[in-house]
Amino acid sequence: MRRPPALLRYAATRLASAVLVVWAAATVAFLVLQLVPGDPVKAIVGSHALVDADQRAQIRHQYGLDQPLIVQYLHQLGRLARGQLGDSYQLQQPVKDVLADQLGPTATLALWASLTAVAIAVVVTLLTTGRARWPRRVAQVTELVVVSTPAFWLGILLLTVFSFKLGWFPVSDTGDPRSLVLPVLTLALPIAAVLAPVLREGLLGALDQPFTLTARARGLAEHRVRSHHALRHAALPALTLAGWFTGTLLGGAVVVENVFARPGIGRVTLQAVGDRDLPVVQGVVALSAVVFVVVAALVDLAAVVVDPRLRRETGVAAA
Amino acid sequence: MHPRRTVRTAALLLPLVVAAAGCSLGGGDDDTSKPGAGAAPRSGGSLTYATDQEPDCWDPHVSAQDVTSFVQRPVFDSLVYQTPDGTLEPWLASSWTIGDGGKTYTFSLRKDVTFTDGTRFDAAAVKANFDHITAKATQSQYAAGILGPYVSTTVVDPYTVKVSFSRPYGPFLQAASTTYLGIASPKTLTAGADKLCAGTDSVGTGPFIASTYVRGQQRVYRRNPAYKWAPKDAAQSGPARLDSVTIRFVPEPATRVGMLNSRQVDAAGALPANQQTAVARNSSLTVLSKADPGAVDSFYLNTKSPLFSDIRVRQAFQRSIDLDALVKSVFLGTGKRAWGLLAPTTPDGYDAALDNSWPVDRTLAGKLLDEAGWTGRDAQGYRTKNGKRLTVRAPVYGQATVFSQAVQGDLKKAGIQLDLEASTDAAEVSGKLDKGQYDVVETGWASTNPDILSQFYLSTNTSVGGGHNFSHVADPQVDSWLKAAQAATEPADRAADYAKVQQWAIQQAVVVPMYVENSSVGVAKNVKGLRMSVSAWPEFYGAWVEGK
Repeated sequence: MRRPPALLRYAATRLASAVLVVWAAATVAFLVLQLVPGDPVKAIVGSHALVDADQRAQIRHQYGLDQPLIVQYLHQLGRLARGQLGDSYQLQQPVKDVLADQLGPTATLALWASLTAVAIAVVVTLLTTGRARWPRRVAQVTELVVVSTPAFWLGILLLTVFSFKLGWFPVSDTGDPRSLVLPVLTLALPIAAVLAPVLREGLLGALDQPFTLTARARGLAEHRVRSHHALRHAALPALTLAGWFTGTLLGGAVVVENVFARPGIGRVTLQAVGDRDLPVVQGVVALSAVVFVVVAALVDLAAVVVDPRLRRETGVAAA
Repeated sequence: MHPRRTVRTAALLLPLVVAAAGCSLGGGDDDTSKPGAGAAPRSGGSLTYATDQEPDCWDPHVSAQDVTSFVQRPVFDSLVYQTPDGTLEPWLASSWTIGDGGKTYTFSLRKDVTFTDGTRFDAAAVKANFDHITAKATQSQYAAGILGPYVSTTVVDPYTVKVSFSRPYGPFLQAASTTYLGIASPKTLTAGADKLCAGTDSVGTGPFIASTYVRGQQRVYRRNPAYKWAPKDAAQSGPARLDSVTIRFVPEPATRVGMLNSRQVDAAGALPANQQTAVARNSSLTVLSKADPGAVDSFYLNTKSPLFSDIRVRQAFQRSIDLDALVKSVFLGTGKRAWGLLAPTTPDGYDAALDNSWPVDRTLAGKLLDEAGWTGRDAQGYRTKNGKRLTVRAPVYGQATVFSQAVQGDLKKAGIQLDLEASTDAAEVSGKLDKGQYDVVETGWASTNPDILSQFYLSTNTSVGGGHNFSHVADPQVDSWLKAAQAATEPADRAADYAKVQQWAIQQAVVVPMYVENSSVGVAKNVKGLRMSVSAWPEFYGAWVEGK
């Protein structure tokens, strides 16, 4: 019998580990939320409501909260396997629909923020890896300041200056693409400030390598040496930051969407946590797990593209 | 916390965390429609309003959130209208009679009303609405509750409808005026809970038509051109002046205020106390303020706790807090201390006789504590009894507010330790409440109905059952007053009964009312005719925007 082709085996392993990650995330979320003592029906109904005992019992039954924990857990896993996430306690709608509605704005924000962060980091890196040391010093101080600034405060600062005072950008999204600029910057700047030093270190290291000397000796222009050869090497360590990068984007979305009054997953998450809307919280956890898995796969792919040594066909062992 | 009955959430999220929001009784009118520069109302234009909260569920028949009643008011009319000063008058019902000793209400309906989907408004529509509210499947969290001892609705003839109760129920007319009992097109009521809650199927007879809605962003309303059934004392008559109204959901206060200051919105609600002066200083803005009606922010004393089962200790606690000074310093001279349980803006509920009746008196308090045996003093200056410190336990959800911390400092002067047991675990806090493991609970509940007192003092409304009788009051006399108030059909009779409850509560020192909160809205000066409703939310119906 022939063994399945390597690619297929690779894909199968990958898929299995992805399922494992999502399962683990869902299980941990379920357990953590169960550890919170108290009556979930109270959370559903809230304090200033007029609801009698009968109705409370009915709510308990409707959400399956009268069942043993293990049954609730298995139900949840079963739903998850079918791509269902249950119904929100507070919004009275399928969690899947709620998240699907809110995914677009967050994805747009995250995508633009990623591109902006990478662009800023690359430009800053290229500009600060020359012979002169002072641009590096200036960049390092700036990066430190940006990284240490809470996103919330950065957002308010950008808003105050560029929206409230100068009136260049509207605050909330009214279909005007300009309204995306400040939230994207708020999200991108701290990421760029972490990415740039990593890239710079990598680039400076690569520029000291013999192959750079070779390239220069072949008479390549300095900008080509940097952008075509050295930057590739520098990109690898930066790629390993992708997990952190994704986490920052998701976490940052919560802050940015609330400060800039934008719709999105972050906004829904904050409201769900405040309202103890557990199905939504669990849905967000599952969604985040999926996003992490996808990002990890994309990063592996990107690493192969960037680094030929990782390709099996080249026959060159990866360093 | 936001002062109003807003988030339903974690049992105690809101009531326990006290409002920091501000008061500015001094500033602003509650009505920008007062003649200004003699400009005539203008038709057309649009208005954008920023608010802090977004409803979880948009169906007012289901939701218990204040904000739901606000955002759906432009869309849903009610049978009865309550004017900003609390008078009840005909709206979709042209008249009504109360029969069977207060057990039945027969409404004659207007015959010229249509829903914005073309459906005719008639008795069957009213019945369909009350049936929907009280249906088990609806799982109403509030509307069914304010219907009280509701039994059924019957269609007498196409434009007459009779609502019956199992016992006389006086608060009904006021309840019928709220958005929670707003009348929706019967066609939409069968759309299903998810559609109704999503707010995409809201169709009423109101002056505005619910238009596009993006969760997390905004709701747009368009004028209903056919509107001609405004109540007599509405801001105007006929179709609304504005072509459209947009409500933006902006949770972050700094952003909301910034948008208002830079005129990216025409008005913004829930102004934080510390921003109100800045907004008022802006020459193109003005601040509308109105005290929230309902149960004011108060300490409810647990009469069953070991400490406060002694009335002398309760009275000492009540008379030890210098509320005048505290409210002045925390709310920067713009707030108002409370004397009664209900805010002065609560129709048929405020009891002016209580004003100045229990001023701070530390000498009296000291005497009472001495009598109760709290004669010792420990190293920190707190009173002790048998070596035990006089500690008042107050479970707090989240962070203790500036105001409760100020009270804490003040009580120390009287030798009383206020222990603010702050916890971010809502379940832990609600567990303490259910088990009665506390001496005081700080909370309030905005409502236009004085019957809100029943939530706090009816012996059956215990915390375990979801009620708010945090004082564990179980007094047959109080129950009978509250029930008599519910049964009374004359507002004055009802007010008299509620006054008795409030006087009893103060005399028995089961409560320490603290301060009256204000709802404040920052408004651009070219916005006219925006007025504060009886529940202290802006009404858009009469508003217009100059030169825009």
